[in-house]
Amino acid sequence: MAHHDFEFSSLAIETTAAELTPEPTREWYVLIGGRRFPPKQILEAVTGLDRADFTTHQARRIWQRLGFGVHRLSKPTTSLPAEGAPERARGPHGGAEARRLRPFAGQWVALVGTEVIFADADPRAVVEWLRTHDRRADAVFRVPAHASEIGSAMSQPL
Amino acid sequence: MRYAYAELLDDDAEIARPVLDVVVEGMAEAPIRCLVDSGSCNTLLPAWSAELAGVSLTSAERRALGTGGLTVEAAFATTRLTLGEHSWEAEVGFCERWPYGFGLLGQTSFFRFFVVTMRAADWELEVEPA
Repeated sequence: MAHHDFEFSSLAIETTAAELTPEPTREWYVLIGGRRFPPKQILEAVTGLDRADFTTHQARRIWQRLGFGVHRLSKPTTSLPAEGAPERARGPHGGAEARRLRPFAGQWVALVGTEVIFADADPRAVVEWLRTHDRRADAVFRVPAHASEIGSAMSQPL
Repeated sequence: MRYAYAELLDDDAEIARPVLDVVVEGMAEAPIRCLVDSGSCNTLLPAWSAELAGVSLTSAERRALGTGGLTVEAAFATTRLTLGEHSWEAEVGFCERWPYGFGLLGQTSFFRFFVVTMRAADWELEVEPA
């Protein structure tokens, strides 16, 4: 790539990714360690190349060849499916919203529509990321890892 | 104003919950997701949200509360909350060691300000200023 040869190991990539704060994703993202990175950001980090030296298309193909999941952002939506749509017994999106949140169980997320734009174990980091990148979330919350985390909780004076 | 319930867990046994995303003071970039909880006396949020939203808890009244079988200390402060286009000021308890990943919208500082209609069969709730 860019007249250089590189050798990567999955561990080295995941270690590098763990030390990075993901930048906002536009259309494509690569999923590493349960977090979404712009393909060019993470490729720049592991190669040391300037991201101007390669295209997003090239970066996507490299991540796909390396076996990492490369995904396209879906259009944020809060609309409900039509009345009587299948699987509505479980929720307004037929379970799709919950499935999309599954990789982020236990993490604080910033959500736009039904899309997670950033996730971290620390809610302060989520708000700081939004401020740094001048982004506005529709909601910030921690994705439950267990049903006991979403039960109703009456508050009563002791 | 109509809002869809949120699907929070990918588990066949779980169903969607009524939630609202509420802006705390001027922290519009990060509305906090809250469970609409008619069984809760108070509106409760994690303490970090007060810190980041600039809500001073220095002179806040502190009370022990039981919530979900746990005891938490809540620092109560008058706080401006915003839902959609509507803002109101109410006593909010900001809790250290908050066990949940969301806030609670309860009786004294939410339900008294709104007419809330839940249509669980349609997975939506309707909220209008009282």
